Amino acid sequence: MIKWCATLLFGMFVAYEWGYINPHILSFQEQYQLFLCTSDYFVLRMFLPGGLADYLGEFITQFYYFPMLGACCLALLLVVMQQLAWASSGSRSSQYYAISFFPPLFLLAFMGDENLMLSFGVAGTIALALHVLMKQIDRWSFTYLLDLIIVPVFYWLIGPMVWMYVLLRCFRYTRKWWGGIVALELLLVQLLCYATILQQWPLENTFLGLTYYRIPYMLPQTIWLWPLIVVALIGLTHLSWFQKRHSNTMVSVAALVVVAVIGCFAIQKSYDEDKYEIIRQDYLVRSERWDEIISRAEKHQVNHPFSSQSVNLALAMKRQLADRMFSFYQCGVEALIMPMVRDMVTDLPSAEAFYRLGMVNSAQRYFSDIQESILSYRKSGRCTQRIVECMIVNGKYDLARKQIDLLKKSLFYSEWARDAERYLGDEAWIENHPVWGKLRKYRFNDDFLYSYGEREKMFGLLFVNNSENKMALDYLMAQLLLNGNIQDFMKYMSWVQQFGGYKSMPAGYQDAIKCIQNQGNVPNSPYAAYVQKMSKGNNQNVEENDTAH
Amino acid sequence: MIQRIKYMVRFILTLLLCVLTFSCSNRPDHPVLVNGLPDIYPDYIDVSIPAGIAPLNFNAADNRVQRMDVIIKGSKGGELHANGKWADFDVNEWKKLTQMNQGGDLTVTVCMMVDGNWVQYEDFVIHVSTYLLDDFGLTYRRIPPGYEVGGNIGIYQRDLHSFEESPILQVSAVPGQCMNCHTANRANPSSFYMQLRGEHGGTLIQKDGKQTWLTTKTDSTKLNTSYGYWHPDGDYCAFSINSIHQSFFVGKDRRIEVYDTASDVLVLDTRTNELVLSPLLQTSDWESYPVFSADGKTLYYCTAKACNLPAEYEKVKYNLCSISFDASTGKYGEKVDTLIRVTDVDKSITYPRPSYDGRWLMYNVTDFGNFPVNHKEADLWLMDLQSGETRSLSEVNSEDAENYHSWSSDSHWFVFCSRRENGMYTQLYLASIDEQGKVSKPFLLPQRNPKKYYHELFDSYNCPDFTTVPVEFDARIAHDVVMSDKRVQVKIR
Repeated sequence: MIKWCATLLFGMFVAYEWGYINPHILSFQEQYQLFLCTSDYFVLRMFLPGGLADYLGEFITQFYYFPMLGACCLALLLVVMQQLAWASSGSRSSQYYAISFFPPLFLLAFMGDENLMLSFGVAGTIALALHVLMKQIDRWSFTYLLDLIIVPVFYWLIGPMVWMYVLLRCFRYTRKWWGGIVALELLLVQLLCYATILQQWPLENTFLGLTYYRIPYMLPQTIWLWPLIVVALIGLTHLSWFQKRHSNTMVSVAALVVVAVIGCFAIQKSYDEDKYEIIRQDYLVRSERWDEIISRAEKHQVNHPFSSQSVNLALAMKRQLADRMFSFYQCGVEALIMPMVRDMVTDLPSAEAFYRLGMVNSAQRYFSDIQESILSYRKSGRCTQRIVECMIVNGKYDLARKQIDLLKKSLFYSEWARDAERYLGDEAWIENHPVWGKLRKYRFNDDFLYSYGEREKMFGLLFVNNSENKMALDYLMAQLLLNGNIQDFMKYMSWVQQFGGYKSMPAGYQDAIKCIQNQGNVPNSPYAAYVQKMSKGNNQNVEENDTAH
Repeated sequence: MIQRIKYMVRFILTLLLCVLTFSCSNRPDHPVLVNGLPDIYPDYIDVSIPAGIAPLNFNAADNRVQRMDVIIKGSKGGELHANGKWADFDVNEWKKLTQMNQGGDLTVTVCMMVDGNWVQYEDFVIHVSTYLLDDFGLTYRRIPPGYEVGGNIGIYQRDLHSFEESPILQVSAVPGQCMNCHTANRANPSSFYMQLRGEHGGTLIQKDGKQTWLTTKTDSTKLNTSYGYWHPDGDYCAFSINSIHQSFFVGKDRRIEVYDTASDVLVLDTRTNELVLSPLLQTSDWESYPVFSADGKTLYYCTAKACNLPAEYEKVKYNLCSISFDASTGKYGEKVDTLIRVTDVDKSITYPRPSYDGRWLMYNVTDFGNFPVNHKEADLWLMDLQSGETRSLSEVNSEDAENYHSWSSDSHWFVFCSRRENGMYTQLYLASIDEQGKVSKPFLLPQRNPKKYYHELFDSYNCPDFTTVPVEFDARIAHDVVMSDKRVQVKIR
């Protein structure tokens, strides 16, 4: 009874924590893949060792689109893993039941590395399942021979995690040298794959995994601690001391509590607070929960350009940018839009801002490059969706259809894709679309080359094109303030008064003007504090450069 | 048990009967004849193909078509039949048919079933050229048509006589690096060069299977090599060194403008890894896209007056020039000839590619700039090197960009990239040219199920080149050398 309660509690903990408290963790994983429900997609995955684990990992990850549903799937996987760990253990004494929670708990801790793919956990679960299955038929004398077939097949299906199975089997062999034979066979199979099928992959990936980590060539060796810990824990239960049957309920409960405390401690330590706050901001941007971004930033804001961009975007969407911008952390002149950075995270808020401003081509560019920066070379459902929207706004219907047909093969983007498909070529309908129609009015009338260094001019032109584009006006003024371009800021104040739609002068602008009039000597002025911080930074840079020379 | 087996046998027989009945009803029986040619994808109507090429499978362009029935009859004999969701021909039978009809025609009868009714269209013809295409196939780069990030790129080779494609080098072998220009010497991959950019960038010279990775940047030349071309004797390789940049458009129609802010031309002696420079090719103007003539005695290249970029990007226009080169001494001539002047044509001339028989020079014409792939107006032009006459290759040009052309080893076929289908994803087309310069209608690189393949492909093809035999390349050695940054530093001669 205690066992079932503990397992149930564990499952509920995972579902609640990852589905309700921290849905952004799952959303982040989901947005960097696009699982397709087609046989081609399955075959494509099966081309590489670890393909089945990869496929199943992606299959489960697609449910993260709805974090609560995804968390339930994750919880189920981890509960299955825990049960398999228990079934694998050498002891049947319930007070050692607690040990079986370590594999899923430690896996959750390892998953604090956002690039660890679920295929790693899936492969571990399959390896444990295989071990349990073989344990059941161990009484047949030929099973050890069966391993010679199973091990190469499962190397192909789940990748190098099959080593965990080989090590676990070593506890079962009566002739211990047989484990060496099987290990040798696996080694030879891996070398054979390396020499033939995996010619485009480095040796370390053949041995450590091609699909377990989003950036295969940066696979951290430490993730292999997890299977070693699992093997060590299960091995421990095979010791004679653990074979004795105890039935002390108090000890069982105490053991469960100790394991829970250790597990929670490990999880807490492995999820970097600032990194995951940024990931949460991204999730909130994706869900357009602007108020929540602002309220969280009021309590704690990570000093990172990503955070500046996200909060500024949220403020702009709520038309608070003019009032409150400098009450929040501003990383500098890049606080509104970042230059293109070749990774899959940094530019997401910039891309979203471009899209909302009406800089549709720039939004498409950023989303395309973000997608291509996913180093597992998967498509991103989120990016593809935005790219389709940009193509529709720009009237590139053939290209949009190509992307839409891709989305239609997924489970959770297909409905949206089918709806978007109905707009293709229908100019009147697009004009009436609440977002696309507006963006068509906002976008530039004339074509010219994008210049990152002159983004305030581009915001200005956007506004000149369409004075309803208040966000462009807010971004123009904000960029001028970030640049410290007081002259132009004062020059365009007339636009704010005429077109800004504010009943009174926004507090932020009042503060900035006061700062300008008093040459920065305004106590408790957020803008004065920003200017001081920036000039201090600039002075430091100048000094550093002088020293370097 | 016996009863159960009987049931099983009866079930299988019934199933077979059903399949046979079903398949029989899928043959056109008294189809309705319509005037007009069938709407097929790719457009293979009236194209010319080499005997022995991979089957020109095709689909109905209309998604409502449930089934197709295609009969191909050769003017010199032979017949092929395909029935299914698309016209899917057996590779060997197709090969036999085309070889039997070399210099003749294939007449294609297409029936399509829509809403359960069969319709038969007017027959169309595929010409089987008298020119064989003996080369093994093509090498090319496949890259998502992004902006600043290369993504999952790779250089591949494709057997033109089947549908087989295999990687030469994929990004998984050299993670984080961008691989681009690659070319063999007159389609012979025993001399092969490749360019890698990124943190571990370098220039590969592979001769007879031996890889040498070079650092081509020197104190005098400042930049690494970019666009290259082999001298026919295989000892020299001409390169341009380019400071390549790109800017992006904010409007809805154009995406990218790629430009150089500096570039020069030089020649690498691959025996000694020395750079051979000339003040005539290292001027304040921008020199780029060097290529050797078929006899190796002339170096063609493009040159433009320096402009203030990116502001004056529309003013950048390249002339086509040449300078003599003596491979025995490794020396350039002392004067530059201008073959096509910007002032005469008010266009930009780039990417010259002389045919290996010395008869033609194919090049790109754009309104401005030096990177035709992003120019919708980019067209292919042909210069007759005997008469000096030039003309637009209207037979192959389209409303969208054509570029990256390359000749087959016998110079009777050429491959080029085109964005005609959707303006973004470049595809490969092949066409033939006869002694008089008559060019055939180009055909899209065949695929087993072309509509599905190209619709689901999110890569662009670029830098295609013919290869006479499969490229032998050890990606593992490349990985070790590239990632370890072991390079041979070139010197100035």
